[in-house]
Amino acid sequence: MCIRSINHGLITTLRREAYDLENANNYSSQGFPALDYMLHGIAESDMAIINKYTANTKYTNYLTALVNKMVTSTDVVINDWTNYKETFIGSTDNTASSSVNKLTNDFIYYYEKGLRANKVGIPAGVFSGGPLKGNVEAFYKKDVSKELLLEAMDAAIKFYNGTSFDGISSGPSLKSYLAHLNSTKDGSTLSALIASKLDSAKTQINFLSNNFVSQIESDNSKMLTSYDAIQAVVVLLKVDMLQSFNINVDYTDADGD
Amino acid sequence: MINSEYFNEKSSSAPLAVFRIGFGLLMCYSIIRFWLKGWIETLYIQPKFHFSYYGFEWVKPLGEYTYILFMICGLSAFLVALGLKYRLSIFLFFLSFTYIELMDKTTYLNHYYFISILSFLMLFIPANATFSLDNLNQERSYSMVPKWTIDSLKILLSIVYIYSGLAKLNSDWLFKAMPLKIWLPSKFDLPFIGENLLQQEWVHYAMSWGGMFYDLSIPFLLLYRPTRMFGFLLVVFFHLFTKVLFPIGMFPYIMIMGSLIFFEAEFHFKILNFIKKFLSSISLLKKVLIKYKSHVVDIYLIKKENFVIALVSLFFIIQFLFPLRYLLYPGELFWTEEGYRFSWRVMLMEKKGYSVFKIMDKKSGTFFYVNNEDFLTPFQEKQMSFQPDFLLEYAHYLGDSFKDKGHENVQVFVDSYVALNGRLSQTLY
Repeated sequence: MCIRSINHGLITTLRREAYDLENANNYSSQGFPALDYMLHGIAESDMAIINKYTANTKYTNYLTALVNKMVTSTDVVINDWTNYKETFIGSTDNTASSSVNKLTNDFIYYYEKGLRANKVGIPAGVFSGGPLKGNVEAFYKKDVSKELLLEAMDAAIKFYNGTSFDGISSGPSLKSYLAHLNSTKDGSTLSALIASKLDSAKTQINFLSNNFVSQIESDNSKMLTSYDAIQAVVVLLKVDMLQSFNINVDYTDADGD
Repeated sequence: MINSEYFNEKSSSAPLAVFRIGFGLLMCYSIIRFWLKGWIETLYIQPKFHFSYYGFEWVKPLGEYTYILFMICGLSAFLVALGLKYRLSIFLFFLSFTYIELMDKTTYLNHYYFISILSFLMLFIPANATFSLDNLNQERSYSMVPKWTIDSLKILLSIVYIYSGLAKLNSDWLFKAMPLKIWLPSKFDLPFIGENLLQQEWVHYAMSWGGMFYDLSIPFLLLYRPTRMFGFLLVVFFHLFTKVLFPIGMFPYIMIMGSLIFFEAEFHFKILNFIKKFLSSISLLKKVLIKYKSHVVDIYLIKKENFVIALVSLFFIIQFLFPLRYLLYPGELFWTEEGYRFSWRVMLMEKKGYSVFKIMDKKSGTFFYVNNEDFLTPFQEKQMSFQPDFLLEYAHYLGDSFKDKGHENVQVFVDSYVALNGRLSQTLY
């Protein structure tokens, strides 16, 4: 996601004063990146930002609208899941539209695109030939980029391990299914190998500065090392794990032989 | 040898008629099925780039006209079934079908290759000798054909079985039960056997060895009269069972239909009579069929038979040798895949890959990674990721496209990770 285009969209949305957050054209002017800009980016200092809000109610209005939109969107998701929960649990086949297949594919997609590419790869310049520090997460707040990445990494690790929300109890997971299939590889089981590679990726992330903009400016190679550590897991998830599960990464149905 | 006794032997033309009708109808249905599933669009029209076979780079999809190509293919298959202008129809079918298969090797399947070479062989076989509309036009039909024409179909089917059986004589298949050990447990959602039998290791081994013995013995079971019926029941069971287990499309039906050719003429008369009865129930066709009965000539004579026999012999020599060409390439076949295709290696590997391409400026050293989705469909990306010739072709394509976009001193690198039959993924390049 390009932060600059978010700001551009947001500024025009703000200027118009009449906005419709349900409109697809305004999707890029909302969510956490927009909140980051509204709270930390509309002026140089905290004081100047507060002054902006007190001087003109359009900022307060927009901020309120943003937050409300985030709350209602989240409520919709929660409601949908409450209704869909039983259907989801009941779908136990191995087809492209079955729950485990979709969830596994979505998890990998998130890990690869949302976590690896958006939070680390793109700002570190992996896909562009040079760093794009304007694309770090929480670009305006700055000192929380690492915290957000770690949070995402922890969530991925917990999902893989099947750790519950309480952080203690655990249930069936990708890891336990892999262990059940007993795919022995190179002495250690694949399930343990992935868990340990996830942990080493987290270790690499911990070496980074809280502020990714300054990390990219001072020593981008650390960003790239983290990227490589995160990437190492992508290979294991996408190739080895999916092979063991016999889940297809694509939804193109064509005959085989 | 060409004048030897064997080539003078004659045989009833009925098996050829059944084979022709079965083949034509199945092919026509295959084309319609392919069309209705939207695969012409997703496999041939949507992709920006197509993976070509060596020497056939000029064969490309024809844009919207690709639909016309499929129409020709399906229609000619139907005409083959009717036996109308048979020689021209089977020629059109062979050309259009083969062209379709050559457009993009992403979709390569052994059974498509089988259809191509089978339809080529059928060019030289008088499958319209009896029970065809050509008989009405020419006002004659033939009760006998040269025996070798029927035998050649048996030989081709036997080649498929024997070579795929021989290909199963490898350590992964026999001693690790791979890849069945990966595939079968994932079919846990099958009724009755999914959650218990298919999860057992001994079942994986039993099915690996059983499949190997099946492939190697089925031609002999079908050739030998006392075991023929047993062999055929095995064919039906095996192919329907694999159809339940794997998404193999029309292949099982083609093989079941094909193995009918091993049966005696009487059996085929029964099938033809059944079809005749069915058609006679349509009153309009009744008159035509009465007319049809009245002009039976004895023997179908093939024009320039010696030349045709020489050509078909050459075809079979190639068929015998081509699957063995991998012996001439260095390296491990399952990794290099040089000589893997067109060799009846069916369901031998579970191979998955992940390949990342890096575009580097040779002078400045700056680089970036390619997003494969920008160039390939998910299916193409999947196939590209583990097949070496795909990787190379794609790398050249990437180099060319980035040069066209104005990048300079372009170098293309790939990191390719491939997992084969449950081994931990390793770097291919």
